[in-house]
Amino acid sequence: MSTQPIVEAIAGVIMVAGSFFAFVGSLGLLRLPDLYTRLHAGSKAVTLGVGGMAIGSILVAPSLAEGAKILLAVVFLFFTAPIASHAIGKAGYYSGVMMSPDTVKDEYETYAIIDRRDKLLKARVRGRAWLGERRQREVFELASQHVRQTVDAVRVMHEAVQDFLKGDLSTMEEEASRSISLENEADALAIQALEVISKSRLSPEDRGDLLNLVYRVRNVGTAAKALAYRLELAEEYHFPSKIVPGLEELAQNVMETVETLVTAVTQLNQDLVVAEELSDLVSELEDLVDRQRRELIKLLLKESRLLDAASFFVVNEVIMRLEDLADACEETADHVRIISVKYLRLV
Amino acid sequence: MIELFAWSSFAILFATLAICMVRLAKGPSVADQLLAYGTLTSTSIGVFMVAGVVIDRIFLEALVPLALVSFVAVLLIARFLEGEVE
Repeated sequence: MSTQPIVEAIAGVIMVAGSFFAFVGSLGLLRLPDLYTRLHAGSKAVTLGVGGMAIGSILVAPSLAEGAKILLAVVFLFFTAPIASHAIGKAGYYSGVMMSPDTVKDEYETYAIIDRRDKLLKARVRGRAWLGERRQREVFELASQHVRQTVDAVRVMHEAVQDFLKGDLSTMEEEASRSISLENEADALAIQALEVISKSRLSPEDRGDLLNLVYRVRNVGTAAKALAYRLELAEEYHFPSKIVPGLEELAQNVMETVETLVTAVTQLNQDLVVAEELSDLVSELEDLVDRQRRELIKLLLKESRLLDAASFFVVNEVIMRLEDLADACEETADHVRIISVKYLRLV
Repeated sequence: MIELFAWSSFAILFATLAICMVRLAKGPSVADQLLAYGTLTSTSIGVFMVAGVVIDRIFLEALVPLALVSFVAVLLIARFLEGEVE
């Protein structure tokens, strides 16, 4: 070798340091408690280790061309390693690998469900449609219009909750009343839909199911309206900032529950298999909301000494009404599931 | 002198490979094994690099295909686990 001893020494030290890093990474791979923490050790430390070895061997490479070859391999490794570990983590999550019991928080939960929802919506048609004929479709269209209107009202209500949490009371009040008026329009639509459905020439069973569906969706709207009325009550108050992130997340999850419900209801008219799976996702989201609500209430009780009665009441009411909204969604989703199972079996 | 460093590097790297194999055997989930496999291959790329210093020849013919094959394998098995490929 033609390199100078000092360069060789530096290269050797870097090389040994790199392999030491790889060793530490593999120790992490062996000792850490669950897949997700091991992923961190395995991918990061080992990439660093290989990087060190590469620098070492490039420094003492016999020619520039040989060094460039090593560089090529390492650049490739640096690009692919994060992609691979991302894929492994996602695969582990979706195939149900548990986290260690010491895990503080799973922030991916909601997104995993949303991700599954989006994939379901993109999948090709696998089942039959309910009320697929043209005349029936018109009746169903009215019902789904009601659902969409309800969701618009809930969306505005969600914005109102966000402003409530930011402390922007004047915007919140405006949004709450806008949500109430949207909700009233949805109610009018519901009454119209109920009338048309009752008069329509559907089979009695179809008609009963469709009427029931409209009733349930109306309950969702009523729950949203109840929340909007509570928000309108709110005046100057203060509540501990510790609760804000949890409450924000709760509202976000409730919103996602409603959005998923809408897709489930509209899929009834397109693909019953997908509708059933979507209603399962609604139930999962509701479970999530339930768990979060319990934690929030616990937190609220812990902080309650710092609160005056009015603030405690308002925050508690908001949490309760959000929970009611999610419950109404789950009830509707149960009905969607019943409909899809029933009409899938009727061949 | 570089040979001395290279040999000690070898010793550490083989310990690393052994530990990765323990994880590969233990699991417990397929995702864990996949992770162990990925780590194993990237460590062996490191071994090839260090070997190149001792033998004075760069194993590019082995380095890039090894990295490529392991990357594709990990991606495919991961997607299979996720349920996207049948």
